[in-house]
Amino acid sequence: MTQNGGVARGALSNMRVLDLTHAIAGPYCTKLLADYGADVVKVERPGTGDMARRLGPFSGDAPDPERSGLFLYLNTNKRSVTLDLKSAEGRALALRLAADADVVVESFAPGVMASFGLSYDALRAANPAVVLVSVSNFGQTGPYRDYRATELVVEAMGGLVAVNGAPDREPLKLGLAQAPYLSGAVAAAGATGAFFARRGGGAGQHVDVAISECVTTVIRTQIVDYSYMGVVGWRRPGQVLPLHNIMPCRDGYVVPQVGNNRDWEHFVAFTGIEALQGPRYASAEGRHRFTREIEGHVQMWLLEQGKKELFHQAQEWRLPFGIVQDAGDLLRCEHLQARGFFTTQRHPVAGAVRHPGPPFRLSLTPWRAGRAPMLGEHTEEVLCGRLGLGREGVAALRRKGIV
Amino acid sequence: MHTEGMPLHGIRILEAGHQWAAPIAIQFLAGMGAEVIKVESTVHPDMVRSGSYPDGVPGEGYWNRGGRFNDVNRNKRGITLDLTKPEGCALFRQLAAVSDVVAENFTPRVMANFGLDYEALRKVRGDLIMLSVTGFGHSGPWRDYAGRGSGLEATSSLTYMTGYPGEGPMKSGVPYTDIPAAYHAAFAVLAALNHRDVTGEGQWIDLAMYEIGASAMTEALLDAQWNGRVAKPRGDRHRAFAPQGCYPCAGFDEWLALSVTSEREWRALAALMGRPELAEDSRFATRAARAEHHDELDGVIAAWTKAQEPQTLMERLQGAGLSAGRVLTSKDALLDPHYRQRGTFPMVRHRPETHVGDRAQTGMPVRMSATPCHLESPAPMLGQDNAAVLGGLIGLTAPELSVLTDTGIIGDRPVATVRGAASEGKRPDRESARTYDEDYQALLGTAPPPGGKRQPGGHPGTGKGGAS
Repeated sequence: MTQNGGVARGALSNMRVLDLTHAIAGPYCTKLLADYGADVVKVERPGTGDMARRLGPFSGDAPDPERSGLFLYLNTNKRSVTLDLKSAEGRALALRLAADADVVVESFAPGVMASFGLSYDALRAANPAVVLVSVSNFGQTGPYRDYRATELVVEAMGGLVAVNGAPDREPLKLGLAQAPYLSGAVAAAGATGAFFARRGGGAGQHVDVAISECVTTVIRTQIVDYSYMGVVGWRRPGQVLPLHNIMPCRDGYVVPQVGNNRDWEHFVAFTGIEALQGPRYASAEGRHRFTREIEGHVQMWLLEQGKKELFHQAQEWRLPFGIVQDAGDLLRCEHLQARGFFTTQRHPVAGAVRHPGPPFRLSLTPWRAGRAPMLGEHTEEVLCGRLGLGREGVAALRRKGIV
Repeated sequence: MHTEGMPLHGIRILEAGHQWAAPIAIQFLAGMGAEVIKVESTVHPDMVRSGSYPDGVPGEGYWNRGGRFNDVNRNKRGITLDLTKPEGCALFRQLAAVSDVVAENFTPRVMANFGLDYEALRKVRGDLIMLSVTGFGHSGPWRDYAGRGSGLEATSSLTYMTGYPGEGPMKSGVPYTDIPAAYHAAFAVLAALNHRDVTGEGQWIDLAMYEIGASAMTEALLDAQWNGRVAKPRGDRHRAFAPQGCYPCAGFDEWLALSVTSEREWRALAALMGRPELAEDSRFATRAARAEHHDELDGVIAAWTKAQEPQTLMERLQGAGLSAGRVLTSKDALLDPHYRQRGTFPMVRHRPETHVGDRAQTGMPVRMSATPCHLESPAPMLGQDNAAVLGGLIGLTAPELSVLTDTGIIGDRPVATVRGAASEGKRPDRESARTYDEDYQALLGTAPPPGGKRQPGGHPGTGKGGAS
C-alpha cells in the first residue's frame, strides 16, 4: 500500500520503453527500467532472437534459446515481440511502436538505426517527445565511432586494463564482463534523467552512452594523477598501502585493509601479534616504511586463521576487512539471504531460475520480481493491443517471416 | 551556475557523502543540473581531499588542492557543519527541510546516531528522497560491517574472478565497485524523483555496494548453481573467442588488446600477419583448436606485434574488421584523438586562490543532445559557501554565523591534518612511477610549454625506462 492508500506501483510505472537492444549493456539498462516499473517491449529478431539467448550458462550445459541464464537474468519483466527490422514492414511497425513510446533504447553499431530508417531524426518526426538512448562501444561521434570491440577491447581503450595486473607481465582485464553492467546503469540513469526532463511537456532528446567512456570514469584517480602531477603509475595489485594486499589465510584469501592509526590500534589488539606492538609501526609513515616487515609478521599469523572467522572478528573491531569470496560463497551468503537478495523466477521452459534480485531497494515503490519472456511471446498481444492490428494481420506477418 | 533547461534544474540535493560512491553519484546529478550542497566538517573533512596535488606539492591550503576530491565534487557548493554537535545537526535538519534529496554514505549507525536518518528527516520534509549508500546495506547480519575499496571488491567476488589463469586472485588497480554503485545510485534517485513528480511521495533508497558487485556476477552464479562449477579467472582470455589477449608492441610497456570472434576474423588476421597458411593449420583451423593451442598462437601473434607501433596496428586491424584496441594509459586516454574530439575529459578552471589552475578531469559518462552538461564549476573549497548557504537558504545573520565559527560548528580550515595528507599525497610518486612527464601540462595544453615553444615531436617523455 502507498501513503495514499493505493496499490504500490513501480517508481517508473509511467514510462513506456521500446527496447531494441541485445547482448548485455543495453538489456541491463532496460532490465533496470523494467524491474523498477517501466513497461518494456523488447524487439527481437525472428527465429534467433537476442544473441544473449545463445550465450550461457545453460542448465546442464545444454544450449537452448529459452534456457540461457544470461538472457533470463537480463530480460526480466520485459515483453518480447519479434520483428524483422531488415524488412520495410518490420521497420514501419517498429516506428509505430516508437511513436507510442517515451523512451527507445538501442545498442546497435552507430549508423545501423539510420539504415533501418530509425535515426533519431526519424523517431523525432514520429514522436517529438521521444527519448532515444544509444549504447555503443565508442559513442555516436569521433574517429573510433565505427570501431569494433569486445569486453577486453573496451576495457583496454577505457584505460582500465593498463592499471590492472602485475607490472612485469601483460596487463589484465577484470573478471567476467564488468563494463556492460557499468554502462547499463549509466544508460538507465541517462534515460530516466531525459525522461524526467520532459515533465510538464518538454521535448525528448538523444542520449549517447559510450561504454569505453564509462570505463574511463573508473580510472579517475589515474586521470588526475596525470593531469595534476604528470605521473602514470604502474599497474600493481598491492604495495600501495600496508596490509591492503590480498593475503593467504588457512582456507582462502583476505584483504586486511588497515588504514589509519585507529584501524592500526584495533588491528594490533585484535590479532594480538606481539611483534606489531610498540612505536615502530605506530605512525602511518612507519607502517609505510616497514610494509614488508609488517606483512611478514601478519602472514605467519593469518595462515592459522579461517577467513570467515577473521571477517567477523575484524568487523567487530570495525575494520573494513575483506575476504575473497567466489560465486558459491555468494550463493550461500547468510547476509544476502537475510536481505532477500536472490530471487527465484519460474520460467515455462527453463523452470526455476535463482538469480540476483534488487540491486537497491526503494522503501515505497517495489522492485518487481518477474521472469524473462520467451522469444516472441508477446508479439500478438503487443501488435494487436498497442498498434491495433488484427489477428489475421499478425498471422500474415508471421507467414512472411516479419514476426 | 546556470542550470535553466537542464533535467534537474530546481532540484536541490544535500550531500553528506565522502570518498567515492555517493559523491560520484551526486556529481552525475549535478551534471544534469541539480543544485548540490556538499556537507563536510572541519573535524572530518572528506579524506579524499588529500592526494594528487598539483606537481605533487600539497602547498598552502592543501585540502583545497587535491585532484581526487576536485574530480568527484565538481559543480557542487560546499559547507561545513560539525554533526557531532547538536547545533550542527539542527542546521542539517533545516537544510534538509528545504532540499529535495539527501544523500549519504556512512555506515548505518552514523546518521541514526546524529538523529538524521530517513525517519527523522521525513518529519521535517514529508516528500524527502533519501539515498543511503553502504557496503552491506541497512538490514541483515552484516549491516554494521564496513565495506570499501579492495576489501569490498574481494567480498563481492570480483577479485576471485580477476587474475592470471592458474594463479591466485588479484585485486584491481582501482576502487572498482564504488563506480557502478554510484551510477546505480544516480539512477535510483532519478527514479524516485520521477515517482515523487507523479504522486508527491518521497522515499528512502537502501543501496549496498556488495549487492551491486554481486549483480554483475550472474554468469558465474548461475553456472555454480546449475552446473556445480566455480568459475576460475581466465586472465585476458574469453570462454568463446580465441585467440584473445594483450600482445606486446614496440615501445616501453605498450600493448595491443585483440579478440578474434569469428572464422572470418581469424582468416583476416592470418592474412594481415602475412601467414595465410595459419588459417588452414590444423592447430588453429577452428575456434576449439585455437583455444587448445592458445599459448602457441599467442607466441605467433606476439612475434608479429612486438615490433609494431600500437596505434597504427590498431588502425590496421580495425580496418580489416577486427576488434583491436591499444591498451591506453591515463596519459594516452587524455591525449587520445577520439576522446579529445568527444570532449571526454573536461578542462576545469580552479579558483585562483588555490593555485591549481586548469586541470583535465573525468567527465559525465552520458551525452545529452538537448541538455548537454556545460557546467565545469570547480569543486568547493572547504566551507566555501557557509555564509551563502546558511545565510541565503536558512536566513542566518552575520553575527549568528560568527558564533558558529567561534564555536567550531562551521569553518574553512581542517581542525587537524586531513587523514593521509602527508603520506598519500606523495603517491604515486615520481620514483615509483611507470612514466613521469615534467612537461605534462604543456602536453595537455593546460600551461605553455617550457621555454614557450613546444618541442618538435611533442612527446619528450622523461620517465625512467624511456619515453612512453
